[in-house]
Amino acid sequence: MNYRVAYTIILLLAAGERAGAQRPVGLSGHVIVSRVHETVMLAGSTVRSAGTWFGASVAGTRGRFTLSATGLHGGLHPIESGEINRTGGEIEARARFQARRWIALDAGYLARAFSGAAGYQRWNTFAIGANLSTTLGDPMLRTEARIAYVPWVNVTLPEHPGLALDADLRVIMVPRHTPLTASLTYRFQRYDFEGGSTGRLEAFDGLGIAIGYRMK
Amino acid sequence: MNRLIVATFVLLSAAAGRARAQAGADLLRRAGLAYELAEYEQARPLLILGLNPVSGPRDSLWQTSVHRLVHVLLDEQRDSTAALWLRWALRLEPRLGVDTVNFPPSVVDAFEQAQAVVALAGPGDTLTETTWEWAREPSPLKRGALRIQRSNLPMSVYIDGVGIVTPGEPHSLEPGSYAITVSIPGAARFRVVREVLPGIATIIKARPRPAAAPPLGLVSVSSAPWAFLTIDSQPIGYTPLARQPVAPGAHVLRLVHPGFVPFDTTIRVPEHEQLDLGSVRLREDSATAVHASRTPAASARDSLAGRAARAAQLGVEQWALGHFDSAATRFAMAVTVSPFFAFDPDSANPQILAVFQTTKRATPALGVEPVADTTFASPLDRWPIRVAVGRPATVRVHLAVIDSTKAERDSLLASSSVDSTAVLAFPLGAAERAWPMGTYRLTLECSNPDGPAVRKLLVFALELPDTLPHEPPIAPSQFLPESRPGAGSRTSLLRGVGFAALAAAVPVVLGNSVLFDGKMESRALVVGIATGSAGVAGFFLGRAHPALPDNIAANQARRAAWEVRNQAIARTNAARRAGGWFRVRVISLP
Repeated sequence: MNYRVAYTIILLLAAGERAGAQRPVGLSGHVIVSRVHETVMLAGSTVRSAGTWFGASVAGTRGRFTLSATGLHGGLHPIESGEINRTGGEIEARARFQARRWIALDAGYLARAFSGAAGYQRWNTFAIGANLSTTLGDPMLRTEARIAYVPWVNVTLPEHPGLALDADLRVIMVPRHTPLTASLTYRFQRYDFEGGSTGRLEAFDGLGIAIGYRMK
Repeated sequence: MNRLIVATFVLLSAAAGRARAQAGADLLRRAGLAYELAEYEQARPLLILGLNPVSGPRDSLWQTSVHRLVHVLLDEQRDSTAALWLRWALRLEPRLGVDTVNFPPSVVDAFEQAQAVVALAGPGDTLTETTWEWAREPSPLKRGALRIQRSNLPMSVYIDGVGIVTPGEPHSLEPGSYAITVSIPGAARFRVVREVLPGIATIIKARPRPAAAPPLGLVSVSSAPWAFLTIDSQPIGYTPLARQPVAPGAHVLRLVHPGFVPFDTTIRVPEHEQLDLGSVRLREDSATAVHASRTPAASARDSLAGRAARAAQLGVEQWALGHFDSAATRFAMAVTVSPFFAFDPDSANPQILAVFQTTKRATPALGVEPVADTTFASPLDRWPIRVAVGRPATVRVHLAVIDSTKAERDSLLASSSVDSTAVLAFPLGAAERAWPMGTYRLTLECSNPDGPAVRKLLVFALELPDTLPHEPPIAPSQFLPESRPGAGSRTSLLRGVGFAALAAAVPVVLGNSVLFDGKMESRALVVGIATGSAGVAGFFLGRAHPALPDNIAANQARRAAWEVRNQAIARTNAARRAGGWFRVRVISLP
């Protein structure tokens, strides 16, 4: 499994390098604020937590190839009483290859961690996905939909998820005559552990706003 | 003993008087004989000597001798001198009648003309006493003299065509009739006309007012433009007049200016009081007059011109009060402050204009008015400076560079004789001498025989001119629209709706229904709604825009014209940098 993932990444990087050869590098940065929700069902009992995370991302584009890194950090508080407050954060690195004008392929590594009085939990995932994008009549307005399969998940839990999916929807506004961008993103992640509804099910979703600045 | 001495003295005096009278009569008889023999060269001096008023009575012989003298002078083609003697004789003896039987028509005509002039006697004739110092050997070619006898009160005297004269001093004048304005401020002011005869000194003395005379009132009046004032048809003088002594009672006042409707009014002057009529504005096209006050222009209040105008205005006020010397002093101050100052001929009367001009030409003063900031396109151009002087003088202009690191060296730039005002132009470009860019001191100097030279300093900078700025780009709003809105983009709308549905469906499709709580879907719905809204916006923003060729062509022409203008500016700037343009900027004025 790990061999296949590594092979895919190498192929993507090689293709991107060829596509972006002799092209200028475009850089952009974003500040992000995101309202995240975690829903965990364990042995028939559901625990819901939410929090606001702040972070930033940088991206560099050369030709069809884009590399990006994102970091977020914030609290995560139970919606119902009786649970324990935690802090959480994640970093993500993603490589994207724009295969066609409307579709791109990507692969990314995500590390997410939670820390609280109950202990420390760490998630490491690797995902590959496809990204559909289109303008909405005017280049100023764009929308993107991404769905990814997460073939490898490593969690500091006794169980391991049998199914992991990652998806996000984004609408982006790129005003004319200014280097700024604004986007609204909804991200959804599903992790089904072994045992089904009697075992452990988790969903992680967030609604975020990002303001970006295009340096080149 | 004393009675004998007194009686002897009286007898001797009477005998001397009879002898003088006899001498005058003898002279006139001898002159008559020479006249009858047509020996006019011999008759003329005898007639002139015999007509001396103190030499005999003004009897028929004296009157006939006047006729003879006039005839002799007319025969010698000295018509103006004949007329002068006639005016003198008629003023001295108003009852003098013309002898139309014994003298030719030319004498009769001269009489009539002289009578018309002398008939306009003024109040001054009753306020003055005139005497003469007769020459022993009169000649029609000699100049005469006029002397105003001093008074116990301060007195100012102005003679038309001569100027202000000092009482007590004789003034040599060409023979003729002179209008003399005598002012004793607060007591009297009158205007008399007197003849200055060849070789004879005319002496005028102001008579003191009788102690029994009723007290006078005072009248003040000014006008725009200036006017000649008569009161009860008696000539008084030019406006402005202040505190003019006038007998109490009702008077008819008239103001006359050539080309304007005369202003007539009746005034009642109270005793011991002042009647101020203000300023009368004369009208060219209407018989009515309105009252208005005059004030100096506020805009010029703080400038040199304003200071000069204020000094001159004070001079006018002094003139109106009859202080002619003080007025001249104020005029000199005005000239010193700014030799450029000049009276408006409509606002200042001829006497004031004449005195100001005389004062100006006697006052050493220098004024400078440069062009403050100017750019010259050629090294051949000259920097003009307007110069004014009071007394005519030679103005020398020195130029020195101000450089703290070097000793200053003056260069004589120009020297010009200036009568009143002149424009001096200096070459500062590289055509005649390469003056380097920098700061310079210009010294203008005119000599003054009565004291140190009058100098004015001027500091200016000689600079390379600024290049012209390029014309800014044309604002997008000034262009015509190059396309028109077309139909909306349905594809964009469908894409937006599709992605919106996709966003809303993500949790439903990808999520585990066991974990649904309703809120998760609503969060996805937020992005779905946003995407759908973007799709609707794109429907309008993304619609086709058919081109408008005419507008495109017009915009292209406008851009091309803008480029042409900027290219012209670029060429001008290049010419400035290479072609010797220079700028002169005045830093400090005198």
